[in-house]
Amino acid sequence: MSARLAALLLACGLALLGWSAPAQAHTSLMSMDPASGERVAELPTAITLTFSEPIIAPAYVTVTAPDGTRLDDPEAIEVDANVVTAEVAAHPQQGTYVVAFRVMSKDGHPVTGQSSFGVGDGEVEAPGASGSSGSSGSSGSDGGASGAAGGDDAGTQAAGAASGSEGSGSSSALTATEKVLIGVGPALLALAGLMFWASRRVREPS
Amino acid sequence: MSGGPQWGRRQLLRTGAAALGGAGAGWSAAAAVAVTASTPEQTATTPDAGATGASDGYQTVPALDLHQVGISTPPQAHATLLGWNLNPGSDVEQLRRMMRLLSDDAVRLAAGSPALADTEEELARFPSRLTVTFGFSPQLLARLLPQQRRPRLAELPAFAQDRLQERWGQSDVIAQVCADDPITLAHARRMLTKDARAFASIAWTQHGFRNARGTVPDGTTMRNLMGQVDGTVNPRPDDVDFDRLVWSDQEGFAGGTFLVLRRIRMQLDRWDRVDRAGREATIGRRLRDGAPLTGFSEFDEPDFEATDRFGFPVIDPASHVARARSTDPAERFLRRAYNYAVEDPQRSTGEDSGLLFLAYCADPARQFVPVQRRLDEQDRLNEWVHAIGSAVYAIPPAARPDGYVGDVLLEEV
Repeated sequence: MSARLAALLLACGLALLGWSAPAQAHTSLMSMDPASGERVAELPTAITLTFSEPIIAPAYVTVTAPDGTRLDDPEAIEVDANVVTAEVAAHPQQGTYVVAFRVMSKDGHPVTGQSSFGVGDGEVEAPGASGSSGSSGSSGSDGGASGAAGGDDAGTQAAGAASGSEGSGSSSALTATEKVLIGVGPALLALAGLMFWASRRVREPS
Repeated sequence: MSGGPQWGRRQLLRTGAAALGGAGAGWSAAAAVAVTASTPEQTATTPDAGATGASDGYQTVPALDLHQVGISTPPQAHATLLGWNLNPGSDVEQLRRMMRLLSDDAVRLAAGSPALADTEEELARFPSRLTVTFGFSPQLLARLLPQQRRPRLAELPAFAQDRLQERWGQSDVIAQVCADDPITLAHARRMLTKDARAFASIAWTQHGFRNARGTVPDGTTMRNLMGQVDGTVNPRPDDVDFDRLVWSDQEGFAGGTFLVLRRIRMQLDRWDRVDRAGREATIGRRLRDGAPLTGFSEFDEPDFEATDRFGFPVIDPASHVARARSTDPAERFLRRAYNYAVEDPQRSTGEDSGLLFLAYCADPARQFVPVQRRLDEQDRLNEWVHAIGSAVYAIPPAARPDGYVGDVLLEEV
């Protein structure tokens, strides 16, 4: 029984674990202008979001001023292949402006994210979870820029880092039984990994 | 491998690691398959033994006084839509004769009796809820009836998303033939087409299907071939406003209704690339049970105001359920759709599949057209479906005693 065989089994297990759905050409945010965390002298008249793949209109973009004023206009959002341009109303405030977006990839997958930039010299704050009104579908309060993909947050995916996100995961809630069933496999693999690691620390007369 | 078998601590740990790794991999694969496989339908009611009992084949749909059957009738498992064009030069008398023959066939076969001059009498033995429902096109009525005797029915406006084909277009006459048993249906089809042959040519034949009787409890909302629960929001015969929504009150046409028929093709090869999240976002409902994304069960009201952590509506305003929904309660109609799937070597999948969309309502211009206009303007689903056939028909009231379907319109012309 060689170490290489054990490593190979581990690798196969991990690969099998990764395979649960066909590879999807989901779009993801490549860049935003103004960029995440960037400081600009003046509030721009439009925000531009560039995605890796073309998206299907309509696209949704919100722009929120430091005092909570919404500066976006649903009628003034344009989609041109993989570029979304959202006009921004003028606003005199300096500080952190938050941009959120939700778009649909060509393959139908919804992609959502949130980012912030600063107007003026002050520090740019990372966006927290913006206020959700009414009965929100989101799972708990995540705060900060990162959030977990909520199982019941159907159709919307969490922001990874502050600069955008990638769609991921299924949207249907899993039952507790299914969660346990799915969890056993990785648990076994994790245990296997631990044992292998422990075996490497055992020094024996060769 | 060095030397003979070694069972020192290191080797034990590694062997154990390999074994557990293999087991973990196998378990994960099985779990992935099990969870993504379809789960049995969760239903609120236990199956009713009577609904799927042994006497199903003998079950008949009784005739109604005022309305044709096959409209408020719970949809049977199989359907064929027969479209006919009257022979050129036909007048009202030709149509009367044709309708007398076809109506007689329909009444006999629906009762479990052979048709007149039935060549396969035994095939009429199990009516299995057979219904035949007849309709006339607005163009045919305009040709044959004076204006004051014609029910008011406009052709549908053009919709930009449609890719209509002549071969699935408007026909003069339609028969919606439905039954739970496909042999019964084939026999009825054969008798009807035989008797119509002297008067009309077949414009098209459209076959449709739902679950076989007994697969799911009666009354379960069907699924279409995209896998979606299809038909949740639908007037039911015991709803207070069913009659007002479905039956016409036009003078001289009381008890009749109007049918909008659209053959909607699904691009399933492109739909293959859409994952579950995308499918659910497109419709606005969960695949598993048809519940709106903001709800817990199929019949929950969608909450279009609910927003997610970023402030976006949980149900995309461009999703199908959001665009089909109307604030005007008059914009509702009875849907009685069937899946279709026919061989088509010209398509990459080898099959042309989709939905035979049938909507019955008292006033299509008021009830159906505004909804279709909204969907035509914007609907995420348009990315994967489009209509290839479209037609409208006036569906006469029930035949008079000893009469035939359409006699209310065609007699005393």
